[in-house]
Amino acid sequence: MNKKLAIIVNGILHENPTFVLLLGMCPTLGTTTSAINGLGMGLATAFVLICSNLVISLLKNLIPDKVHIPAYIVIIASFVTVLQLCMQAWLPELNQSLGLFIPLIVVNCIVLGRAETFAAKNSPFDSVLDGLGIGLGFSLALTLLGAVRELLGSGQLFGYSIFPETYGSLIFILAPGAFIALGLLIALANTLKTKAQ
Amino acid sequence: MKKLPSTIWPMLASLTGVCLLAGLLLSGTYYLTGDAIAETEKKQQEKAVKAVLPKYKKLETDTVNGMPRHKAFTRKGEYVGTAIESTVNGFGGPFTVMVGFNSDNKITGYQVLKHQETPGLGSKMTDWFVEDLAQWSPEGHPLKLKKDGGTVNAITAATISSRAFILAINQAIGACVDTRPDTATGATAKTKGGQHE
Repeated sequence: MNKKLAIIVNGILHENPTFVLLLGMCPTLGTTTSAINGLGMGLATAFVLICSNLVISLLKNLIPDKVHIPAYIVIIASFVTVLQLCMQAWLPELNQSLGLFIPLIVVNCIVLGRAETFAAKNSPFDSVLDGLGIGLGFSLALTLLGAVRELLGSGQLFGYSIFPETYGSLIFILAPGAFIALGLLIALANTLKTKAQ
Repeated sequence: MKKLPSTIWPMLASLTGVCLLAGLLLSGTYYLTGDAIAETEKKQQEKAVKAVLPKYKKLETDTVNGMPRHKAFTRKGEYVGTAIESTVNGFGGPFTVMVGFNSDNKITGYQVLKHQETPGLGSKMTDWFVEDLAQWSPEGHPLKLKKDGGTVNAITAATISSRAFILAINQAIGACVDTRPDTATGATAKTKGGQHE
């Protein structure tokens, strides 16, 4: 059982897609203008990761090596479309604020990366756990980054005012602030990791 | 089970199978979410119409110059106002504004339905123009930004978004002109002043 738990923790800490692997930077920088957007994007990616990891792990022996990339992409794209249809139906507001980034989950290298490095070699159950761990790690990182940018940029946290907006620095909402905040968060994560060792 | 070899027939069968599965999954989801998506879109539109118009009972919808137009009447059939969905190109792509007019062709309110303007700058248009538009009357000057010789304050550092927004409102004013049942009274001639050149 500890081994199973280790797979999840691995995704959140040791192989955190944003802070350690530095994968999927495009949605990371693009959607984290607020904490709630970051969380939404993280959970959407987690859903696709879990589903695609499960199916790819189930089908791994039925897919010959030479065609594995197209097969994986078709599977991932299907789940992304399922997700998008569901969001259009039941979460229209989140769908609007994430916009183009939802269909772009198809080419998110985290999803294909986990399919290649984990789901294609491990059991379906382990693959689901890996999807869950990496997905949670991604959600956590994006929520954190979104919270930092939202707080410094507009003085709000999850839409609640913490301090007046005039004291906020607009740059954190815009693209350059994304790079600055991400860089500082990675530095912080590395410092904590070195201290823990 | 052994992995399928990368020869032509297994590859063909594998890819066909994956695509079939994906097709099934997608058509199933599309079938299940179709009604919910249509309903959500309709609800959002209704909510926006309700927000920008005085109280009404009946709604008639048609299209003017490609813009959906909703004419509102009381239970007795008295005309109370019109809501028009106007779409223009903003700074970050097209955005849509629902504009409400009362029976005197005065603007009663607006709602930005979807936009991708810069957060913290152009995105402020969702509530920035409320006062200036409420003070504007169809008999007076054409609706323009102050820096273009009009009466409306532009959003600081977001002139392109502000101009696009004013264009959207003027488009709506143009579409509203022939709304009034008594077009011969001269009410239309007065509103022409508000049309965008």
